[in-house]
Amino acid sequence: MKNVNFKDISSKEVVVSWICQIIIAVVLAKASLSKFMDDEMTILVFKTLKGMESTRFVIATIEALAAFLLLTKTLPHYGALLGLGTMMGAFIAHSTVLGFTSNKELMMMSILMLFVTALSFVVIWINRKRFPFIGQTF
Amino acid sequence: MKKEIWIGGMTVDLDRLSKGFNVLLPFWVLFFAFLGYRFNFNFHFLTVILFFAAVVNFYFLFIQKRHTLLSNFGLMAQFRYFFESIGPELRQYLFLSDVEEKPFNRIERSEVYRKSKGVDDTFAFGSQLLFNQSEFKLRHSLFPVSRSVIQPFSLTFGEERGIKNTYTLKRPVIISAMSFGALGERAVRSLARGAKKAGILMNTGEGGYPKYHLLEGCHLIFQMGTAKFGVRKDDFTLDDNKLRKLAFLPQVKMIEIKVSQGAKPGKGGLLPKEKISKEISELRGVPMGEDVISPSFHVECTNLNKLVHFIKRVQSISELPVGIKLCIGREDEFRELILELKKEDIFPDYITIDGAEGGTGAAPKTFMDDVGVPIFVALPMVNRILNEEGVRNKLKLMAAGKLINSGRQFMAFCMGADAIYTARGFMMALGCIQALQCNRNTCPVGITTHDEHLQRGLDIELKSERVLSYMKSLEHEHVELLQALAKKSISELSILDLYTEKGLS
Repeated sequence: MKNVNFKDISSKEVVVSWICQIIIAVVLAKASLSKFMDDEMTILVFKTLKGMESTRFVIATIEALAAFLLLTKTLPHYGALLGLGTMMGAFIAHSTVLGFTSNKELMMMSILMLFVTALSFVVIWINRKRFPFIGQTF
Repeated sequence: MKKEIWIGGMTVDLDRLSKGFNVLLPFWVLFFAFLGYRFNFNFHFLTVILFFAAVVNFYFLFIQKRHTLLSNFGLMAQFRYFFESIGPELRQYLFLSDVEEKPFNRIERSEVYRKSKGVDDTFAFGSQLLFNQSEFKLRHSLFPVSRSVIQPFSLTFGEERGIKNTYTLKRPVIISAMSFGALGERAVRSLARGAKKAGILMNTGEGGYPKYHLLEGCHLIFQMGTAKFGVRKDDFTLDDNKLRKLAFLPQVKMIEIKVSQGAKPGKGGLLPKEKISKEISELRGVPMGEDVISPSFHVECTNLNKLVHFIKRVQSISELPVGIKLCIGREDEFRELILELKKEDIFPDYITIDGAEGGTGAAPKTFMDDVGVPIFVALPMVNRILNEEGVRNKLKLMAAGKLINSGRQFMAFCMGADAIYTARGFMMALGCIQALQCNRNTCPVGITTHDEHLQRGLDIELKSERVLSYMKSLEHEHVELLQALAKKSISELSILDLYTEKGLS
């Protein structure tokens, strides 16, 4: 499998990407930790979602993995993709079951979700050429 | 993408298959979204994955215009790119026979690997080569000589001019020109340390000040390419002082002016931007982020007379043996060069003939494939011209171009070579797997890359031992071949010791 030349990314883009990566990684790490630490709000959210009680730890693991990948030099695009995936799952949960503004905490979570989604898009776009096969077509 | 494929007696229409896939994909997203909403939220894992796929598929089908296949077939066409991208590996590992790979087939490569590892390098049952086509063979004698009569190799450069700083080569094989830039630091150091252990000479390549070549203490030929990295002024002309300073380094034994190179004759050297680190940019005096393309000729050498006097100038400045390296293009042009050398009574101390099959870190494909004369055609021609003009005794002749094993090296000796250059042979001794990625800084075995992670596995001490072992094995075979051909030394070999279907004049 052929490797991709990463030097097409300008130094400005690298800086922007790293700022976004760090912010997303912090948010995801915090979200992951709250799931592992049995945070009450998190338990309540996952109880509300059908069949998701035991999946809480799977999501927490994915978030932790994403946060880790975002802080690596060579794999941040995969971290951002995983982050975007979890945010999409959260978006589905909010739009179908939880709602966005029913209480203050949920509203905060919704805003954070949209913020992380936007930053993940930025990281993915900047690093798009790093994705094997598909990357070269963008 | 093939329109139809045949799988176990069933024909699959790929056009229909992709159309079906493209139409159904959004429905699959909705279907799993419904399942997630109605039955179990875990179905949304699939909703998210398929949603991503649907977005990418939409982009391929309706937005991007660069790839027709993706516009027509969408995401499914990626399978073609996927299989195409792993094609070289599949062919190398599974589908190509032992004698099919290029530029070196598996048999040739494994011979070098075995030699460098010092393991048994004998093969069984018979040759894998085709014997019913025109080729060269060495002519053995009915009466091989004993080992005791074989004389050690010795070749002194500069003796013809009677200079003070002559250099005597004790091994007939030289590590050919590979710069720091083309190779990574560890590869250069492994080769240089191996060269020191084996007592062989190493060419620095045209990479400027040979920092890492010097580090291991081996004897060096400093190569001056058309860009004159390390010894130039801003206008690409030679800086006498810089050259003098370099030539006075005790490890630098000879200077080589590269006129042209077998892999890209008529073109200057090329170092892709991916391989230009901060250090290389400083050593060569070139900017980062741009391909470095050397001029196609030395600015001082615009005609034969100027070239001849440039050789003289380098000889005077360096006070060392000075050679030129070139790939043969036109026979008449080479004869004119020899006549000019004769007229001026100025001779380089050696000429290296680089065959068109020679290797490189990066070159345009047309130049690699279609320009220049191959070594086994060029070498006898050059030797003949030198003899006809009566100047063969004025200089030494070296040969380069896929001369990685002792058989081909002996053929070159028979055709007139006094010594042999090989680069890729020594790269294979370091563990080169012929991944053909030298131009992309992604060499998986860390030889032609500056990526620290990829270089990590290249153990300098271990690999230098491989260089030594490869050289010892070559030398051992040289002696055995001399015995078989009933010759006392390599210098006794001639064209008469070579068989070819049509004969060489």
